This record gives sequence, structure tokens and C-alpha cells, in this order.
Amino acid sequence: MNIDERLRAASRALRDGSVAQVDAASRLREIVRHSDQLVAHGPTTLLPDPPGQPREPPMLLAPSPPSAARWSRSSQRLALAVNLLLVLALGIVIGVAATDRRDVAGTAPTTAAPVVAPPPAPAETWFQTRTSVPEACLDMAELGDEVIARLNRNQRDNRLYLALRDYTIASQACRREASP
Amino acid sequence: MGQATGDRDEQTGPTSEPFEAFYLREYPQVVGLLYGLLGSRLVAEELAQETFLVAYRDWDRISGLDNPRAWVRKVAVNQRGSFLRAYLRQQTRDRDATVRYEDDSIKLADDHAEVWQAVRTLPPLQAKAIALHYYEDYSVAQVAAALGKAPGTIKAQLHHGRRKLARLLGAETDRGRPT
Repeated sequence: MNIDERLRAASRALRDGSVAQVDAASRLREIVRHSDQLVAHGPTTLLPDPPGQPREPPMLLAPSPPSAARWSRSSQRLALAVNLLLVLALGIVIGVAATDRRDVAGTAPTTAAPVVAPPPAPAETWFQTRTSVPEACLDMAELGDEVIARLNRNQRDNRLYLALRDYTIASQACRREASP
Repeated sequence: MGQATGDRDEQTGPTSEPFEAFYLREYPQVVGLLYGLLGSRLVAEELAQETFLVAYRDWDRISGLDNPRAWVRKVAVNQRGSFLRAYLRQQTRDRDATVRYEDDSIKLADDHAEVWQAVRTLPPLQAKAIALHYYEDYSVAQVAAALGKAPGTIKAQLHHGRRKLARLLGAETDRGRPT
């Protein structure tokens, strides 16, 4: 068998092998999930839901125009920013009001008979934001740093290869976990 | 010399098919192409996924192109290019010393795997030209378009690549392996 025939046979084998061994359906779900906030594709007739996963109500399969997706994303961001500003403004107003009342109470003449009890201080409101990041994403960031550091030092050996692989795995896991 | 058939590319042209159908048909093949060049299924899947994500986000435009199949392959083999491919190709030379994940390969018969391993030792342009020409059945003109080179350059790269591969795999034959 000459080299041309060997290449053709190896190519055929790789094509058949990849079609048989690569799970496209689950990766497609990742793409759809990943972009769900951008485009409301919904479940498709081509992809059966995995067992045990509740089926969502069917939606249109046709992709929305990308401009609509971008618009949807930017309007979501805008809404989020407005909400944050409102919460922040409310916090400031409450905080200022509480401070003013304390000041007024503090500067009141002490000679005055304590006939009237000071008004009860308004309950202070605390806003605490907790952010949780999937473990895999932290791993991904650390491994990314490691890969960059090794590249900077020009250490292109097995350690870099393994770090790159671990990074790829962590990156996939991070995407899976971070997908809504 | 391989015939410039390009027959697997005949079913092209602007398409109104849904992205999902396009993806399910093309994704495994693109993974196979990248696997042939990189030797790592995980990395191949990751790069292919990124390519298709770009296509998904701009599907209205890309499905209207003359050849969405070719677009996906062109982006896939040219993205992130030099480092990843050069590095992983380098790694194949020391493959025995490398710890590998079990699911990081597409299972192939030994003689086919040996051919792809040899392809990965070629210089990047030769490896890509060989992969597109044989794996995708691209003609010289199609390979040239995909890689942004002149057809004459691709012809020369294919010629040199085949000669090197014959030498590499021929050496294996000399050691008693069947061809």
C-alpha cells in the first residue's frame, strides 16, 4: 500500500471514528445552554432530553437574529445595572437618614428635661453580596496563570503540557457548572 | 498523488437548515480533523466547540455563505493557531513519556493511528494541507483557499509532506511492520 492509499485509509478511519465516538448531542446542549440568555432556542426536536431531566415547554426552533440576541443581552445588562443603582441609592438614603437622626440626637441640649424619649432609630439595612464561583473555574484561573507563567519562562516541557490539559478539562467543567 | 476530488464538499451552498442539524452533522467531523492535527481529543473538542459557538452566534450570516462547511473548517484550523498546534505536535515526539487521559483519544487501528502520528510531526502548513486534502477530500484549490496560500504552494507542501510521510512510515515498514 503506498502512502497515498495509507493516508486515504487513515482519513476514512478517523472520519468514521470521530462520527462514532464524538458525542455531538451533549456538546450541542452546552452551546444552547451557554447561549440561552442570548437566544431563546429552547429544546430541539433533534435532541432528546437526557433521562431524568424535566422537559421545558417547547419553543420555536428557528434561531433568532443575532442582533436580537445582542439587544436582549444588552437590555438585560441595562436592567441589572439599573437595579444595582437603585439598591445602592436606597442604601445611601437610608444610611444618610440614620446618620442625620443620630447627629440631631447627639446635638440636643443636655439640660432639657428628658421628658420625651428619643425617637427609636430606624432599623439599619445591611446589604451583603455573596458571590460564589464554581471550584472548577478557580482551578481554571489558577491553571491559566500557571500556563502563562511557564510560557513566559519558555518552559515548554511536560509540565506545561499537563497544565494545558488540566486547564482544558477545568475550562470545560467550569463552563458546565457555570451554565444556567 | 491524491486526486483533487472535493466531492465531500459538493453538498454546499447557502443553506436554510437549522444550526442544530448542521452542528450534529459537522461537529464530529471537525473534531476528527483537529484531532488528526493535534493528537488530543479534549483540545480538539474544545477548539471545535469554540468554532461552532462563533457560528451559532452569527448563524444568520454564516448559513447564508456560499459554503458554511468550509467556513467552519477554515476557522477551526486557523484559530489559536501556532502555539497550540506547534506545542502539541512537539509533544507527540515524546509521547511515551507523557501522562495521558484515557478519553483523550479517538480510537483508531494501530496502523491508522501511526499515520496520523506521523502527520503531526510534519511542519504545520504541510500537516494542515495533508489533513484537509485527505481527511476532507479537499482539492488543491480548496486547501489553498482554506489556508490562504497560493495553489502552487499547497501543491509543493503536499508533495513534500507525502514524501516525508513515506519516509517516516517506510522506516516503520523496514522494522517489520506491515503496510
